[in-house]
Amino acid sequence: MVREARPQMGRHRVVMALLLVHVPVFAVMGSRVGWSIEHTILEVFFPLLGFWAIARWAKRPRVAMGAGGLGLMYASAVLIHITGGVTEAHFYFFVAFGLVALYRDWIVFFAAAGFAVAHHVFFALTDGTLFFQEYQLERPLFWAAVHVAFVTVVTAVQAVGMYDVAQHVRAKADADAEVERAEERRVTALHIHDNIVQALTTASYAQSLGEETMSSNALEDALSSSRALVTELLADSELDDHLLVRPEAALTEAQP
Amino acid sequence: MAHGVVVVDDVADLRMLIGRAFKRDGRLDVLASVGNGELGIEAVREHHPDVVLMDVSMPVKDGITATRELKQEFPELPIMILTGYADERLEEEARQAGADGFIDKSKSLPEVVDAVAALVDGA
Repeated sequence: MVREARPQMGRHRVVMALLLVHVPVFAVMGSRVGWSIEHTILEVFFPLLGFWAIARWAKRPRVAMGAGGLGLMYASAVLIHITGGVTEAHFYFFVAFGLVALYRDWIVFFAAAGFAVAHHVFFALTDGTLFFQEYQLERPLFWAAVHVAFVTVVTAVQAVGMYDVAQHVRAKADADAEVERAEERRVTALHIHDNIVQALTTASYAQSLGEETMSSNALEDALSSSRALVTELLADSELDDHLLVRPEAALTEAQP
Repeated sequence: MAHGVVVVDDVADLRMLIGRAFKRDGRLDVLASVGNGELGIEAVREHHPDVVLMDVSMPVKDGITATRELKQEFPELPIMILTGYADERLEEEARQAGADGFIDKSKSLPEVVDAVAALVDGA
């Protein structure tokens, strides 16, 4: 699952707005097919506004997104019911799937897929409004199974896409963290380098003023800082042989 | 008469050694020696030196920022940057901040003394 609160929340606001848009549209459609006010209130107003309210006020993001996703699935089911099961209304499930996939949350997505499957199976067994065509009404379970198979394929494809995105996001986060660690090490190395230069400068100045003890102490400080620099530079690195083999000998001859 | 100097460097031993070298040389007199850029600005306001010797990397306020602020307040004040970072980009940045001289810490102490004295004499 990908945890990106900001883009998900932006999309969530779009889903919530869509949920609200369904309410008046379904109310008009319901009245045109003869639904009573009570019917519309019970099947459209209460459920959709309930999903919207949970999506709006749930404290846990996944609960809010789950309500948004299930609300869209429910809206798809209502559209099929209002239209008497016309084939085109079934397509709305796939539109809703696309929107739910934008959450990029496995649990929310599979909950939505589960809703679509359960809806088709339940209404194929109990209600005559799932399908419109004569041939579908003759074998509702078979055609419900066909639709479930389509939903399963869409779900699988979306799941693969979501997995790929999750992998890329995780890889990018790892890379960003590594860059940040490298920058921190670079800054620390610069500070340690400054300590070495300051200590060597102190040693040099002290020697030129005849302060042998101070010069000696400063040199010890420089060596100590040098060791710290090596430790910092080798952080997180394996001490491979190639690190210990120099391209040329270390400077051993003192300048005259 | 010796020229007054404010020495700004976060290493106390270096400030002490530079001050001793200036005193021994006789051309420069340390009016104040402090450990960061912020204290350096305050020292200049208090002592009105003839020249400032400024380190770059320091706590609280770095030498480049302190130089920029000092030059806004005291445009005529000569400032010599003394740093362990011998880097052309840093030198260019120091010049843009208003530094009048740039010397790296690999130079000997007499060379540093001469450079500061020459800067204040030429100002």
